[in-house]
Amino acid sequence: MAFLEISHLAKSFNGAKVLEDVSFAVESKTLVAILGASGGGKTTLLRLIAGFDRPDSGTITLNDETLAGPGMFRRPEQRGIGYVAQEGALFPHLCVADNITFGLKRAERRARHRVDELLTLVELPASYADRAPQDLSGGEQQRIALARALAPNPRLVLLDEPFSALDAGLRADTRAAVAAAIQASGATAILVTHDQSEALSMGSRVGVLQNGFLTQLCAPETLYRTPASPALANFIGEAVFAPGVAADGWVDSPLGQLAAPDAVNGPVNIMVRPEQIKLNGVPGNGVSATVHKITFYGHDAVISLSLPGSPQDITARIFSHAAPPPGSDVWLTVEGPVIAFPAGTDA
Amino acid sequence: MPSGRPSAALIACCCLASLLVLLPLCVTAASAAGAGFSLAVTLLWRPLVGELLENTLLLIACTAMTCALIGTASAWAVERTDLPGRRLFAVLAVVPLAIPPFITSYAWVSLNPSLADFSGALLVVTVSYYPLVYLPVAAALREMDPALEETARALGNSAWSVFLRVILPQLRPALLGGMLLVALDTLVEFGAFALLRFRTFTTAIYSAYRAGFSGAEPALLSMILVILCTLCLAAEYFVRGRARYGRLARGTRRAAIRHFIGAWRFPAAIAFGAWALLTIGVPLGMIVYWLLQPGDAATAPVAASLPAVAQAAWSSVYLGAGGAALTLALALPLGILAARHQGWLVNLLERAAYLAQSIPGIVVALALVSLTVHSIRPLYQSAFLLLIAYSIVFLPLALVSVRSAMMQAQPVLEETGKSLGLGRIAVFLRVTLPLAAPGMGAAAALVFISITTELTATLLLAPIGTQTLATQVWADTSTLAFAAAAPYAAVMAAISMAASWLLAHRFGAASIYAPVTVV
Repeated sequence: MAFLEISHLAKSFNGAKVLEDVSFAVESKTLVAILGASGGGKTTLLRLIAGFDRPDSGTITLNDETLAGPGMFRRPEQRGIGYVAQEGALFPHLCVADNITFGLKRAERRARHRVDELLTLVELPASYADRAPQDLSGGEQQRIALARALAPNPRLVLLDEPFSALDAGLRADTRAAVAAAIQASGATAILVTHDQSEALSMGSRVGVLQNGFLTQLCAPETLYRTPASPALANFIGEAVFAPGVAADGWVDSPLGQLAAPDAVNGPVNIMVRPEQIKLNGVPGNGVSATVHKITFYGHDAVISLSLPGSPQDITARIFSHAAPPPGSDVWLTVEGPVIAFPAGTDA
Repeated sequence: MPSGRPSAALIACCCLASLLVLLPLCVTAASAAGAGFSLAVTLLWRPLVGELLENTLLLIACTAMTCALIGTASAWAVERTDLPGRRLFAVLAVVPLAIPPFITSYAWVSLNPSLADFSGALLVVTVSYYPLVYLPVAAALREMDPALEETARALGNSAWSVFLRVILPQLRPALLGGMLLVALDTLVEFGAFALLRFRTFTTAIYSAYRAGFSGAEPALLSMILVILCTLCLAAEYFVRGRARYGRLARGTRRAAIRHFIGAWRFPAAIAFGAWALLTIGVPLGMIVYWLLQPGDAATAPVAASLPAVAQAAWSSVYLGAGGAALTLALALPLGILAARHQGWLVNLLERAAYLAQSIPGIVVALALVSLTVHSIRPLYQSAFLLLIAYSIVFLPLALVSVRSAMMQAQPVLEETGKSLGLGRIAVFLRVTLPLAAPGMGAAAALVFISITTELTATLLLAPIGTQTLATQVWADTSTLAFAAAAPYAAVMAAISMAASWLLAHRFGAASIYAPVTVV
């Protein structure tokens, strides 16, 4: 049995179903990221695991101990699960050290047990111990919140969009520090976020929570390369779709004849990531297209291409220095395998 | 904050208002000083003064404690548990503020004439003033980030431990502020204690004045009372000034955890119901009871007649409206100055006006009596003098609202108006006024309610022959004519509660109690 087992969890608020039927398992000492749109039930899922809310049905089992299930409910303080809230929620009336030791026994609080060690773990200097939370930046507050959650050696740590309130520069550093601290402490963790690059880069496995269901939970590469549905493909990054006909591992499509090893023979809807599309100026080398529009992003650029006989533009993501001028004719090829969904499944 | 120097006219208006407010204090201090040192020592070094001090300090200490306990416990139950009927209790907790304490006192005394002295005073003041703790504490509980409590639960703390370690420390500013407000209001209350025959400084000052003693004795007692009030005000300022934690960050707000109190729900709801009965049921119920008694059930010097009640109601309403207008006129320049300008002079004038909060109505009234009797005889017992007394007593109350109303009309909005081609008058009419009007209306309503329920200054300064609702209730109840007092009390409670309801409905519950904000 896995370390944390969630099965058939459901929860509604005032008649609105937030979680319909969610099941998944988390192995010990891994970080699972749950990706979902805002209002998609991510926070509700964490609050059920933490014990702040009671599920309508379903069970939560941690290390073979049932935390919530039919006729069974462990209160949050009995669960030994650490929780890092969206904006840290440091106690404003306590200094950093008192915040970190808040969950420890009285004697340990007096002795400032492990304060230095935990500050080091989250990559902050020991001199921060006596500061007031108000004097810390947002990223520092989040690190202290993590240190506080880790101090009582929780069995599981829950991170509720811990980086969403930080600006871009702080976010990368704080993410790296938090990931390193969780790994060093050997804790098991669940991170929920609406930021796909955060989920893909931090989770050893990533799940997607959509419309009250957890649609796929697997390694980040698998999720990105072989999403279970067109909708999911669109949700995780950008996707280009084109109709085609599959036969024996190959698909004939407006983008050319492409390798699709798992395709079922017959009409299909293929999915290509924009960075798989390569452009060249050699006539006849691939499918011909016209550059329609260029959106410049810095190190890369998104090229909008119109294909002859195709009503919709497709997009390619290429290094910006190689972008051809608008209006020019190019030829495109597709690198790597593509995913073929049965025809009729839409994004 | 914008703006060049305030105009000379504005400064002049503000100086006038501040000086007017400080006038009673100066008069009182002067007549106290006039007694000379040895007489002052003789007058103050008496068992009476010791008894007054003991009574007053013991009462404010006990009241502050009971209000703190009841106010905090009920706020927590309403905001953090699944208590049945909690929404109703949240409304009922505000109602006592709209019932003047001397009406509550009248109700309890007429219910049980043996109720008197310390226990009676403690009961009446607690049921009247506990909302002053409940409201700020409940607001602080609502403001608190629910994630703090959740995090503490996740770190292994029980509900009780979370209350002690997380909630209570953060409630401290609201709780202490509320307790000091209770203490301040208890210090200046007169009518409730007079009916209960409980001697405090206010009642002693009144008796000394009625006994026709030289101006020195009431003035000396007044000075002690002013000092006690100033200490409360200073402590309040201190508590508010530091330790305002606030939220560390703001984001989406969620509802706080509610504790499921299970089998305790119904006993708790019954206790809340009983408390509502004590705080609201008894005062209103006793008024209705006495209304239904024939006039002779209690000795009635003059049985209330419809014309007499209507006459008294009219007096209360026009004095209330006139007083509110004058108070607002005095508060407006100060509010504009405080909202739009900075500097030492601005601070000085504003704080001087707020200092009036520590000068009780009876002190103001007494000072104005002695001033006019001696020097400006024609003003003595004129309606205008009474309005001036009201505006001095309630200026701080109005100033808080006027100042925040002027803050609503931000200069950047006025500048935008000007950039769109509006002249000064058009900007004032189309930008400033619409933005500031609601706050000004709130200030006027608050002052109006306070004046219609005011007793002390009215008693001392009302023109001969003018009876207001408050003075009629006072006259009848002090001769134990409870039934005769009932119609006046009923009309007064109705006016006060209707106006408070309008105010609370429009601006939230906190708008109907005196916000002590020294900036």
